[in-house]
Amino acid sequence: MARPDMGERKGPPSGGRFGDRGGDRGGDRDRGERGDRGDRGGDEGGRRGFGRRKVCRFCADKNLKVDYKDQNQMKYFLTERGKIIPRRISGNCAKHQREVATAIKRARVLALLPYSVASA
Amino acid sequence: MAEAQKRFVRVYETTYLLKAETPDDQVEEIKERLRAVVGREGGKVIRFTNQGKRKTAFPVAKQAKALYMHCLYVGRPGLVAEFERNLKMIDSVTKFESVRLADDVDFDARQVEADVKVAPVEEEQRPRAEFGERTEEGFEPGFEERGEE
Repeated sequence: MARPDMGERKGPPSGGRFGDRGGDRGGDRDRGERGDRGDRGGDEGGRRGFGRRKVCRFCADKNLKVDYKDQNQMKYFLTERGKIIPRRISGNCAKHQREVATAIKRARVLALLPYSVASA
Repeated sequence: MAEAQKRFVRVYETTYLLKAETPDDQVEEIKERLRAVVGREGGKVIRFTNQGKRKTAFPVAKQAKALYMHCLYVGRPGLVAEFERNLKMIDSVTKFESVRLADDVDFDARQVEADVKVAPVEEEQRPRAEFGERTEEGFEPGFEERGEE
């Protein structure tokens, strides 16, 4: 599951709050210890600075359906301020992210999910 | 041909919110009224689900709680407009939403089911971590183990 990346491009120190670098390897990279991933060089150039490939949970589990009535499932895709978590964070595929977004909007109409949370 | 035998309809669901203080007999009355509407328009109600009084995410009609009712029914496209028009006329209905679930369903294939009442979903209020640091499956680990920089 965890795919160590190449790390040939060192991300900026303040590389965003969303963890665009895997925190567990930040130290390694800075010290130049790359032995744990030295044999991997095939697919470089694509993703940079990401810790692991995230898998769409709806693709991984075919039985799982996006359901706007399932509050607890939908919560997973909301920030504590009530915003929809973007695809690059949640790891959803495009199709399922669309479904999730629609479902969240439906749930908001029914007051199952908040439109916004003033102070979280 | 045999096309007269099969009636293809659509499956819809409508969730509507009632004011929390609505008495039970009025809830039943609304239910029967809606069932009559669906019947009149040539559809049929598969089931009503009383999802109980739940806390809403924001105040609805100045109240923190609402009674969630869910209705699953089949019918032709014009039915939803009529259904929602009736919902609008009922004063204790505060919110509603209809969703089409399926197209081209055989009318006779769906049987009428008994009305159900489910326990309201109790949500636990637990503090959530900042999502950048969430360690649940599928999310990035946070920055706590950042190297020296």
